[in-house]
Amino acid sequence: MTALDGETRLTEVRRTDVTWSRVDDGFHVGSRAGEFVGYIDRQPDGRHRACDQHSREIGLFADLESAVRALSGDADRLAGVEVGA
Amino acid sequence: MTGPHADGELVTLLYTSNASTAFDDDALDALLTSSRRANAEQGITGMLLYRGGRFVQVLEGERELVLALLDRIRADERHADVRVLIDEPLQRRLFADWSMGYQPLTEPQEPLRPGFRSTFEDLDADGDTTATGRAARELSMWFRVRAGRSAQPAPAAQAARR
Repeated sequence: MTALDGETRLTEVRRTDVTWSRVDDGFHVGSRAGEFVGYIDRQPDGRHRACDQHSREIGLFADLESAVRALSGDADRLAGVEVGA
Repeated sequence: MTGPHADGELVTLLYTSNASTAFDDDALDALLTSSRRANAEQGITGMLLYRGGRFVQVLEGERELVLALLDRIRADERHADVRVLIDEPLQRRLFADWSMGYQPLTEPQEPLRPGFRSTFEDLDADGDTTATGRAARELSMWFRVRAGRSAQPAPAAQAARR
């Protein structure tokens, strides 16, 4: 994967076919084919806590897009989807 | 919580309804108090959200008991337009610690980002069972995460977590 600008990154995220929804301000849930991919919960300090479908923390991210990428990539690995190039 | 007849088939049911009249904090407290007491006796667990005059409720328990409760809710004049969005067997309770958990939910203040769906708009997606089912599960996830975050809550929130 090469360095990506914001637009390319967004395209890449969409290619994973993860549906992202906002439930509440600062709380987003991702799912694919009826299965949870995980959720992103903005913390009081402003960072975004990404957790997988088992509520295991994947990481804390400075922005929502980074958290989405991390969870989408994690879901791709589990589903065997090749991303990037 | 296992309920009075632990070998009965467990189901989870999620419905939405509109409040016939606006619910203030006292009316919500009264509703939660009575439902928690009744649910504890029946081995029913779940959660309740109230947002903008609308209820979203998950009920878990033995099928017969849950359906009987749903009938009472349909007959309750405080509820109108009851719509069941999920009715399916349950392997393991997701709200085992709550006879009726409650979390306040307000209208989002931030704009919806491009590429993201709105859970509450999907909940109203008539005819799109995929979207409504996904939205219902998203709300369940939200509740469990937010309830867990408030494990050290303010007194009012602590009282709500049952």
